[in-house]
Formats: sequence, C-alpha cells, structure tokens
Amino acid sequence: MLNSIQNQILFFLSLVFLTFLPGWCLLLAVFKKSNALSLMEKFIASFGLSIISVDFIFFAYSGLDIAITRTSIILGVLAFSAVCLSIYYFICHSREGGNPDWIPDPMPTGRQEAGDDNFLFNFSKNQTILIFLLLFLTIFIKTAYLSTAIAPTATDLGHHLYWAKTIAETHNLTNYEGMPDFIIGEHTIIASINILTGLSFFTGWPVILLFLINILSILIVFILTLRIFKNKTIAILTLLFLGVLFAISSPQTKYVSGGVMGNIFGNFLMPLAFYFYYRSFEFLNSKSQYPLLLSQGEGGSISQSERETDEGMAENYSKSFLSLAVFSTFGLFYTHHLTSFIFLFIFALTIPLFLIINYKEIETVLKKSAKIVFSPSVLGIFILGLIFFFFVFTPTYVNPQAVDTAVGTATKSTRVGLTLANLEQTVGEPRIALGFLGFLVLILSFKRKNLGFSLLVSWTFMLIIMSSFPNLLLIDLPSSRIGNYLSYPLAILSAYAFYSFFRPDSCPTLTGKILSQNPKKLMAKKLLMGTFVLTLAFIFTTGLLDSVQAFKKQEGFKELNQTYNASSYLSKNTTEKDIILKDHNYITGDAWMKLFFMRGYKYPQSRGFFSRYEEQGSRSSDLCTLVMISNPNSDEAQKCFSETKTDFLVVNPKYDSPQFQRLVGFDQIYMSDDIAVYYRK
Amino acid sequence: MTNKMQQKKIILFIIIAFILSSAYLLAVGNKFNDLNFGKNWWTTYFANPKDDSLNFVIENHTDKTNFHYIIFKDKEKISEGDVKVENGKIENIKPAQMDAAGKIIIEVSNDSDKREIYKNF
Repeated sequence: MLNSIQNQILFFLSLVFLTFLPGWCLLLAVFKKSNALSLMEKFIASFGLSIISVDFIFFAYSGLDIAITRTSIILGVLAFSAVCLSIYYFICHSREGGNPDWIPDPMPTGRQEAGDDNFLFNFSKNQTILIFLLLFLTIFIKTAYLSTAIAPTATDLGHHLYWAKTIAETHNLTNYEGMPDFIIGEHTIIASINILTGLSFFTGWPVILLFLINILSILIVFILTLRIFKNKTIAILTLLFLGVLFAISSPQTKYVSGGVMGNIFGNFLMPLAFYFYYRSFEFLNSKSQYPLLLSQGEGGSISQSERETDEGMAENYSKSFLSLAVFSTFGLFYTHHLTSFIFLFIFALTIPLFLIINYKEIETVLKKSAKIVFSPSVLGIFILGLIFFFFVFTPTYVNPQAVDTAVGTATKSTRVGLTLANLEQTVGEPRIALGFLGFLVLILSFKRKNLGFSLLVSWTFMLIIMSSFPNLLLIDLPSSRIGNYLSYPLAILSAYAFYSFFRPDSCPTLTGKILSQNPKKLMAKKLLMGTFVLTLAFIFTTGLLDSVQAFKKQEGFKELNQTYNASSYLSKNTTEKDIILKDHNYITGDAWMKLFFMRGYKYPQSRGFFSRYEEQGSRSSDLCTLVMISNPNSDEAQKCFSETKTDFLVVNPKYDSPQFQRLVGFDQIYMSDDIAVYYRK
Repeated sequence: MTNKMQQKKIILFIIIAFILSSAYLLAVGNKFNDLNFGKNWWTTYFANPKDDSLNFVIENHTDKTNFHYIIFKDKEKISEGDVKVENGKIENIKPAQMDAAGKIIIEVSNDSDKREIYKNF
C-alpha cells in the first residue's frame, strides 16, 4: 500500500518535472510577465512545449554522446529551465529601470479592459459551472472506461513500450532497427518517466500519461476555438462536442487504452502548432487583440507613442508565437509521421487560401508577415530545428522508401477512401451533420482577415479530401486513420453551427428581420425552441451511446497474467540463442512478451493474424511463422525449424496443442489454462 | 471574481480531477497485475525445460490448495504424491531419481482440473 502511494507520488512529481517545468520556464523566457497568454493557455501550452523540450534535450545528448540516465535527465531539464529563467530574470531586471516589459501589462490602464485575456477568459458564473460540468463528465466517462481497460494488453502499447524500455535500458536513443513506423518523440517522455521513477511499464501509468495528453488535446482545441471565434459559448460547446460526446470511440479513449501513441500525441501537438500559428498572424485580423487596440482605440483614444509601443509589442509577440509555432512543428515532426503529413497538407492549403481571399491587401499582408517570418528568432529556431532534424537526430521515416509507402495510387480497399456512411461511423452522426452545417455557416459568414477561419476550412476540407478521395492527392494510407482526425475540426464546426442556430439572437437571423417583426415572431421562437430541444436530444442520445461501453465489465485479465507468467518463465530459462515463436491469434497480451526478453523488436517471432498470410505483401512471404505452429510436422515446417532454429513455441492449448502432442520431437514444458509452451529439442 | 482567479479554479479543477482519476486508475491497474486478486488459475512447468531433470513447479493462484501429481513413464504409473500449495505460492517438486527413457508425463490435478507436462527422452 505504502509502496503504491509512493509510486503514485513519484509519477505525479515526474509529470510536473518533465511535462510542465521546462515548458513553463520557456514561456516565461519568451513572454516575460506579459499578458499575451492567459494563465490557462500557459498551463496547456507548457505541457506541449515541455515534451518537445525534453525531446531536444535527448537529441542533444545523442549528438554529444551523453548517456540518458536519471542524473543526465535531471541535469538537462534543470539546465534548460535555468537558462530560460535566467533569460527571464536578466531581461526583466535589465529593463526594470524603465522598460515596459517589466510591467505585467504594458497597455495603458484605460485600455486594459479591452484586452483579449480579460475579455475572453472572463467566464460568467453559469459558464464556469458549465465548464466544470463538461470537464467532469469528460474525465469521468473516460476514467470509467479506462478502469476496465487499463490492464496492459493492447498490442500497439506493447510495441511502443518495447522501444521506451529499450531507451531506458540502453541509455541511448534507438534507431528502431531501421523501421519507419516508430518515431522517437513517441517514446522519449515515457522512457524518461521510467528512468526517473523506476516505475514498471506493466502498471497503468503509460495509459494515464496518454489520458493526460488526450485531455490536454481537448483543452488546446478549447482555447484555439476561443481565440478564433472570440466567443466563449462556442468554445464551451466544443468541450461538449469533443470531450463529452463520443468520449470513448476512436481517436479518444479507445486510442488511449490501445496505446495508439502517435495519434494521441499528434492530436495534441497539431492543434498546439495551429494555435501558435494562429496567434502569430492574429495581428492581420483587424478585430484581434493588438490591432484592435491600435486601430479602434476601443478602450479609449490612443496617442502616437502608445500606438508605436503597441505596434512594437504586437510585432514582438507575433515573432515569439511564430518561433513557438516552428518549435511545435518540429516537435510534431519528431513525434508522428501521419499527423505531420496531414499537417503539411492543411498548412499547404491554409496559406494560399488566406492569401487568395485577401488578394486586395496581399501586398500589406505579405509585407507585415515577412517582418515576422524573417525575424532572427523565427529563423534561428527554424535553422536550429533543421540542423537537429537532418544532422543531429533524423527520424527513421525520413527515407525514400517510407515516402513511397505513403504516396501513390491507393489500391487496397482500406485505402481507396471513406464513403459518407463510413465518415458518419467514424466521427458520429451529430458531429457529421452539425459539422457540415457549421462548415457551410462558416463559409457564409467567412471573416477573411481571420486566419482561424481559413485554418478551420482547410483543416476540415483537406481531411475530407484525404480520407474520402485520397487518389486526388495520390495518398496511399489507410483512409480510416485519416478520417479519425476529422472529429477535431468537426467538433469545432458543430459547436459553431449549434451556436449560430440557437444563440439568443438567432431568431431574427434565421427568420429574417421582417418575419421577426410580425406577429408570427412568437411562433418562430417556439419553433426554434422545439428544434433546439430535439437537436439536443439527438446529440446526447447518439453522442453518449458509446459511453455505455465505459460501464461494461471486461474479462481477460486471468489470461493476461498467464501470458506474463509464461513469458517470465521463458525469459529465465532461455538465452538469446533460443528462438521463440508465439501466437498472436489466441494469446492475450502477446505483444507485451517482448518486454520480458528485450532481445529485439521482432523477438519473439509471431504467428500473425491468419488473414495477413493471404494478403499480398503483408505476411504472404513469411509462411514459416504460420506453418511452424499450424502444421509443425509438415515438410515445410521442418524446413522452417531448421532454418530459423526455432526451439520454443508458445500457444493457447485450447486451440493449438494437439498438433504438438502427437509428435515425439516436442516436450510440453509449461501448461496452464490458456498458455502451453513446447520445447523442440 | 477576477478572471485570473477563475482560470486558477478551472486549472485546479482539472489537476484535482486528473489526480483523483489517475490515483484510482493506478490502483485498479495494480489489482489487474496482482496475480491473486480475483484471478483463478494455476500452472505447472518444468523447473528446467532443457535438461533431463524432472523437477517441476506448481504455481497456484486459486483458493484450492490441494494438488495431486502422478508420474507416468510411457503410460505406466511410476510414482505419485500430494502437495499443498497455498494461494499465491510456488512449490518446487523434485521427484525421485529414475531411469529417464521414453516419454515421461507428469499429470497434476487440482480437484477435477488436470494439467500435463512431459519430456521425451
């Protein structure tokens, strides 16, 4: 009990140290005491910046040949944080004599109230209660589901934790045996928590870490929505559509328990990068924070000197935001290839779209943007990132073969695109209906100077094209994996549609001014109220339906214990010279067996799903793993045994024992309900 | 309430909710890893799978503690014995030395539940 509490405390302390401290210090160094970011934004962004900072500390260690140990991690994080804090104190104190940066909010008093931070994050009592309620429901539903699914059984999680354990045990970054499917950013933070705390990978903390990232991905979308629409209700509704509804289905809690790390990280880092890019170019929107103050003087008239101070401040903030955006983008590219790939496509559409719709002012836009983009801080981070990316530590997916795999004409049925029905299944009925409606409303009420609108349109449009019509872009990737990303922008658009139709003043907007002024106004209002109730009922019944899974009892832990027990037995009684083959079809948690051996990613060998042997290019050329278990006495199997030197076989006796029991050459050395081990002499 | 205070409350709520949820999940996770918590299984295996010894192990994670074993040599019973293995315990059994030839089967039973392990010599 005491040990368990101690482990929990260690885990939480390591989270603070690794996933909060570096990012928080970085934000202090970048923004000093300014109000450019609200407390909530700092809290959420700190997490993303921290994990990226830890990545870069690891890369630096790799480049300098420094072992990744408990001491080096602590020193690295402390040194990074200390440098950031020194910058913060140095700049602040050096300016104490008169530089406005030392003053928490440099805006003149009369105009402070008009600041975004004061307005946007000032929630009413009802709004605050609603936020609490939605966050509570989100966390509660997800926790309830995870409580039945936290046992380490998931195949993906097993694969990922093998690499994290490799980093922790070898004290070096891994090259993934050349495999492009794994990327270093997925494993650094987990490896560092393990190194710092010594907590076993076989407990629930890796899933809890993913759970935390999942919650933060919802929160980053919340603040992004708040910034784009400058509307608290829409942002709060996003918490409903993204957090509470479909809280279990992919890519939410099912991805958390399944250990689909790349997507979980990607769904946080991509919106984080979007958030920073949006804030970098927020000044182009005349209604945003600083330009609003500059041009409108909403908080009162402003003098020439105040204007110049604000202009300089806005420009500095934009540069800082863009630097962080570039930093986050590198973090994303170091973490997940599919999300990075999607990010590139969205980015490639957002910029031209924004420029085209602002073609009348393109010269001003480009001129203002160039000042930000070609600033020393942005270029510095960009160049440093490139140096790290290509010369210090290059992700394994950066090779022509990996590009070939992702690009080309799709031929497999799973890659030729999703139908509308598939999309509906992927993101949920209410989100697809309201999301598309929101997309239309967004187009109709498009604010061309708001980069966020262009971003949202590109985010949604590009994901629809990539998932439903991949051949148009020559994308050869599983369409459903891309379709899962749609739930994020569609949740924002659903919130926007819902708000647009049912906001208090929507009656005149929907029915037209003339109708609203005539005697039928009351009827129109009643009609609207009826529609509101019906829509809400539809949203909740369909959106909460998948949460029922959260309260189902799950079995299979007895089987899991047996798998671990047999693995532990084999790890003690075999050496690297012994070759083990296990079955993936009928053994629970078999992907985790490799963590007991740590003798290579492909050790032990695995008989994969039977369908894989029939698919061209999947396992069709690797029939040995199939026949050595399915038909061990066949000539083909005997040849495989002598070629692969396989001497231990792990199977489920309910399905695969008789074929071995008939043979003299195999000893039955381990037997439980669900695991049998055979030794071939 | 100032907006900073409001934000602090929201952040605090998130932190507390996460800590409570995590603490619960970690406790639940520990139960799943506890071989004896609500599980009902047992296993038997050779102490050394590669050599010629017949030493074997019974590992019990059930409430039934009485085990019986019989050793057969090519279907002929050559010895047997009873052993008590408490829930969560492991018992090493070292059968008497014998001329190992043919197929030696060790049949272990716990109530009506039987398991076999064997070596071919």
